[in-house]
Amino acid sequence: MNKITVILTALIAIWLVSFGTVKILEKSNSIENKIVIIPIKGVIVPDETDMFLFGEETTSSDNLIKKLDNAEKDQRIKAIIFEIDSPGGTVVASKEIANRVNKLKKPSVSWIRESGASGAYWVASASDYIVADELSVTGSIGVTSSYLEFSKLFEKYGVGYERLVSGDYKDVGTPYKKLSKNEKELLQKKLDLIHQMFIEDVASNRNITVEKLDKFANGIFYLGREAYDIGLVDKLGNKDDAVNKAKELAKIKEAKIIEATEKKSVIDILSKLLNNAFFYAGRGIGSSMAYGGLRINA
Amino acid sequence: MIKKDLYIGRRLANTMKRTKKEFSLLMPRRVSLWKRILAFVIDLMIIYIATLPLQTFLAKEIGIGDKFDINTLKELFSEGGDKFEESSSLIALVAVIMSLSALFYWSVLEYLLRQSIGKILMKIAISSQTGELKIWQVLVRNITKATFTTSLSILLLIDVIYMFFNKNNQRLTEVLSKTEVVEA
Repeated sequence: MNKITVILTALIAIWLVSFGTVKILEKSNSIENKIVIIPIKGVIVPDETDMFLFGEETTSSDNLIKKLDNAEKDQRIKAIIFEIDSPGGTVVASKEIANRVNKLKKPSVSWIRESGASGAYWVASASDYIVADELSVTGSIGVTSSYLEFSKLFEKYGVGYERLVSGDYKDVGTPYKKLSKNEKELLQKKLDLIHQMFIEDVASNRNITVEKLDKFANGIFYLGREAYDIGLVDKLGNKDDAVNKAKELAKIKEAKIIEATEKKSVIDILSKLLNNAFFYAGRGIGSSMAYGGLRINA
Repeated sequence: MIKKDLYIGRRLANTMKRTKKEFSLLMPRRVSLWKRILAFVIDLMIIYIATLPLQTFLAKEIGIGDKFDINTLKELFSEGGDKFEESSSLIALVAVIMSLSALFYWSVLEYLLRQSIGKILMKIAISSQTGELKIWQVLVRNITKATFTTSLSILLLIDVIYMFFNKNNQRLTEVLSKTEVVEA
């Protein structure tokens, strides 16, 4: 055998093994319907770099949207279940996820397990059906931007805030000075506006009038049972109920339940911790608090 | 007297130079590291292309798209990244098939031709220190290369690091298999 024959034979053999394996796998997998459970746990944030210090559990809207894109592409995934255990998160991240859920072409069911409050409820409302445990915490349709203000503490230690701004409202929300009446009014207006958008979006998702929802959207949280009575959830139940509803919506009898877990290697965790450490050290704890001051959460 | 000494010195230097040249012709020429690395990279690319159907299938299967690119590979074989839990057995299967394909590729070509495609392009070849090249030698010298898609790829790293501490620039598996890489 000459050189070229040997090389071509070897390469064709590898390609045939690869192709043959694919054909066998496709045959064995093609008839299987799947329902994917996507967890929404912890605080909802826009991306992973926004992870809270010391690794508090978070759900990043970037990651979640990527998972939804993947689930939508996979022909064998017939329905999506969101396993929700979250107190909410930033307004933008919650809205980003809710918008994506709204655009899903596959049936979706939200299963509120422990808590699905505020921004997490916003996301749940965008799904086709909400199942909640009767003791879960949900609702809490409101917006907050509260923060620590330590101007008095600074005064005590002789630390002053030299205000240098061009534009009266440029440093609104800094924790080093008290808010003026005008500033407070301004911030309150913004929060009210976001709250209104939150209510309108949830009302539209749940197919109820803004007026009706307005009565329950004062930031109060409801137990699952109460939420069911006022129409914020569709059914009181557990994972089985969510799965059965997903099957019903997808019009399938049997399905394999798979979980979209996020596996992190030790290197990922270490690099994230290091990144955070350097990030916070570089930015300075004080300024990180200042930035944190104007974070608007739902 | 000085003139004579200079003459003898020059003759001696010339003789040494000639001997060194003749000696180096008899000895296998040591291959530069970059040639070996480049040959390895070329071979890796060829193996990736030959196993393309499998990777495309896996990319679709775990929902990271249907395009073959470097990001797909990164996601396929990195420990991190989002994967649907049930796909892990599939990923393991693909990794094993790719490893076996790699072992087959290097072993068959090196046994029959003394060269893989990368080595042909880099004009290098393998040589047995025991005379005739045996099949066990090519299997042993390539066993760590076959781990590159699995979590055992640390073995390949150890194998390569050993090369820097070996006076003949041989990998550990090359020492064990009594083989070396020489200029073709």
